[in-house]
Amino acid sequence: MAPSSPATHLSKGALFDSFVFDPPTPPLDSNLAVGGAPSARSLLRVTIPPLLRDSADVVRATLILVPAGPVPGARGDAFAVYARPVLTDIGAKSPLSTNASFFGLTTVHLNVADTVRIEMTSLIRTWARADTTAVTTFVLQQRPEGASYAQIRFYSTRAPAFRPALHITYVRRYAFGTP
Amino acid sequence: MTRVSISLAALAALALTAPARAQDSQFGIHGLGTPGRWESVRARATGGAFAPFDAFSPLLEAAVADVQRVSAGVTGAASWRSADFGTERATLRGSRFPAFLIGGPIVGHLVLAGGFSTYLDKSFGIVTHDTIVIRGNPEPVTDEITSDGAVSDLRLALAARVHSRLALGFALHGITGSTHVSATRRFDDSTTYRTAIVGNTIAYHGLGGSASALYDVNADLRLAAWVRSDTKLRADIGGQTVSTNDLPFAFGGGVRWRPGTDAAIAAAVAWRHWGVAGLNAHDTFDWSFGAELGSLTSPVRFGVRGGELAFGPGAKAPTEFGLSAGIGKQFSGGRGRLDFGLERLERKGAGLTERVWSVLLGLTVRP
Repeated sequence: MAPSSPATHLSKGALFDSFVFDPPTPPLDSNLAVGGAPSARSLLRVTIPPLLRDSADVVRATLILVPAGPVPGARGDAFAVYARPVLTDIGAKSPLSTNASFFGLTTVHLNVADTVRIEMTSLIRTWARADTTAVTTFVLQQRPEGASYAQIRFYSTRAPAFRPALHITYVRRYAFGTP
Repeated sequence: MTRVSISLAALAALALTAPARAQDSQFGIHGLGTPGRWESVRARATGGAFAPFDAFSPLLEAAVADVQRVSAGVTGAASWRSADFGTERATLRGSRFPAFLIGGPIVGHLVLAGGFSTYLDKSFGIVTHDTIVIRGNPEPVTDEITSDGAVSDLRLALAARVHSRLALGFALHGITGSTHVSATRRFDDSTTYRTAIVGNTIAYHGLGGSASALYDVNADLRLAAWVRSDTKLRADIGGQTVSTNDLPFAFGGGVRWRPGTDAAIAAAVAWRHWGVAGLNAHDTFDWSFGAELGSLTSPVRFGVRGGELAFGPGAKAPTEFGLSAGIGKQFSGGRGRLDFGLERLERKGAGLTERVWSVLLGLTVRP
């Protein structure tokens, strides 16, 4: 039996084409986390007041989010956060709408703790005109997800002074029929 | 932010930028509307003075008593209007069929008539410009309010000549109609602020009754008197009543004298208590004087009228003065008659002056 010929070289392919990252342990608070790796999302539920449904027409709606602090990272860097309605509200795994006309989008700059404002006029107008059974929930997520270590954390409703708010500008319905 | 209430004076001023929609008067925009004229072309060409004596004017049902055969009359009008407020001027035009009547004897001396006329014209379109503060910043806005429709007076009248000198008439009036209305607010910064549009259809309902008499003092002199009371005008949206306004009690009279076979002159007056009809409403007094000259087959008519408008800004009612003229022509041996009229009106009030030219066409047939 002839001895086997010795190998002249060894080749080895890449075992993975990604990166290794140990995410920090999330802080034990109730803040709304958006972005990072793995990417976090936050779910917000909105109650549309009766006034907007039957007596007013929404002309502008702005979502106001107060960051718990500046997002650390490279100076001048930024990422996008957008608000996206869900098709049905089943909690964290709610399927998301793909109708981009209802998305709200804004840019978050790193190392800045400014209040974040997202224009959501189209979505809130639609909700105000819909029947009361319509799902009025949306998700905050980073775009694109998983492409940045940066994560922003907003105060939730448990921080009454800084909780998320919708600033809605509306026009009251004209009183027809009265001279 | 809520819709800014617009003062009436501003409405009158800014209405000058209104699109050319059918509307009878700017003065009626902030009231219930513009009251219609219950006159045929024949009566209107005499300034309205012959309306109490004209069977085809939906004013005085006793006049129907003289209808010997089934007859029908329809009135059409086209108007061109200019409205001046300070240095601003707008021109508008409109056309309509404000009156229709058909009637004839049913039993003995009893004559039944029915038809419709415009009770309140509620067609208008106004555009106003303003700047309001939203979120701390001034934002220019444009408001457009349009209304298209009218309230009609459906009349069912009974009349009879109870004596060779006296005719009496009674009528029930169904006041009904609808308007399609819309209000739009546009922001100059349309990227940030969306346009708000709301529209609706308003249905109107009301009832009324009237009575009248014609008395022949002699063969040449005829007197007329009428009284009418309407209840309330109810405005419904989607089956829900949104407003109720009182309607006026009205009365009037007239006199007609025939100095010869080819001449007749008449005068009429009317009081209407429109002041009960809500904001910007005023009681009105109207007078008219007119003449009809020539043969019955082709008379020439002219007249003058004056009075007040039921709705308008301020504590004082706007005033109206008008001149009119017209001709008539019978054809087919008297089975048909065409009436033409031309009317010039001037209305003044609260800094606004309206001038109106109206061309009138009437057709009466006796099959």
